[in-house]
Amino acid sequence: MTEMAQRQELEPAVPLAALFTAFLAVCLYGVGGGGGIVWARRIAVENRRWISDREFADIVSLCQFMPGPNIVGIAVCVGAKMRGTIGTIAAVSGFLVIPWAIGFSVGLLFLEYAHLPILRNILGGIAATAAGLLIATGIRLLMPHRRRPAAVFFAGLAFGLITFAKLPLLAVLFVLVPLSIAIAGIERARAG
Amino acid sequence: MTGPSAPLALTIHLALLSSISFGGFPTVLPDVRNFVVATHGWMTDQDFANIFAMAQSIPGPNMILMMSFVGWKVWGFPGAVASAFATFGPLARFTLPPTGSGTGSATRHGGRSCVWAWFRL
Repeated sequence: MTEMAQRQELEPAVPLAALFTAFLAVCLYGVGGGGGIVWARRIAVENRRWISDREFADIVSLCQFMPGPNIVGIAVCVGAKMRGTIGTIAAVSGFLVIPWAIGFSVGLLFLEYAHLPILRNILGGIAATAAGLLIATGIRLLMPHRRRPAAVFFAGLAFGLITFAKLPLLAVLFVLVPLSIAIAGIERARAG
Repeated sequence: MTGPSAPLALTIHLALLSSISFGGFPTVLPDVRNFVVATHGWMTDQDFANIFAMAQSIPGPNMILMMSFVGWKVWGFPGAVASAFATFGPLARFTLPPTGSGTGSATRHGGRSCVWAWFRL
């Protein structure tokens, strides 16, 4: 503890502007979404040495587990660790404000002309590809559990209830999540 | 489009979905579509697909951007900002260290403060 306090006394606090620009860079480099985590690691761990590799791994696993956009969670954690609440605000606004403003204006401009045939074809193609990527992500998430009948059963049940029975997601989730956790607990108790 | 009740309903719904979107926001997209297209008729399926494609092809925070376009359709610029906050706000609230009152002292936020914040819930 004292060692840590000394270290923090020696090192001056990270400027808020640095947090802002670092996460702005993460956002701009991470085109397409998935690469963002790689860039966040490179900048926060390797270049700026704000956090250790281990801390970064902890933050990533926490953010995967939590709801919401994952990479924003990384900005929240790193910002909070360096400068507390104000650091969080600096990191998250660096990640969001400028890219959001640019993306939003460009997007609105294009959506204005979405009825033009050429733009309609482009958007249709992108939508189909992106939807395919989402389906692939879902299958990849399910693959490690394919040998567990209970997991496959609950996945199928959730899919059927939402797609065919057209029940709202919230209702399906609040019924199936406690049930599947209970079944997983029973399975584990039997195995152990 | 209508009075402030429509964007309010949208914002609350998005915030709710965001708090249960384990595995990333795309997991709740079907429910967003049902809410804005089927239930309220704020846009057509074609509009929704266009917005999805547009957000996916722009670098940056895709899902926050997509929900901003949805908010824009419902209530213009205020709707867009409200929807953006609703998409990442719940996450930021969950993750914030409980002691963080904005004084900026680095010593108080050692270790894994944000991990503890989550476990305290």
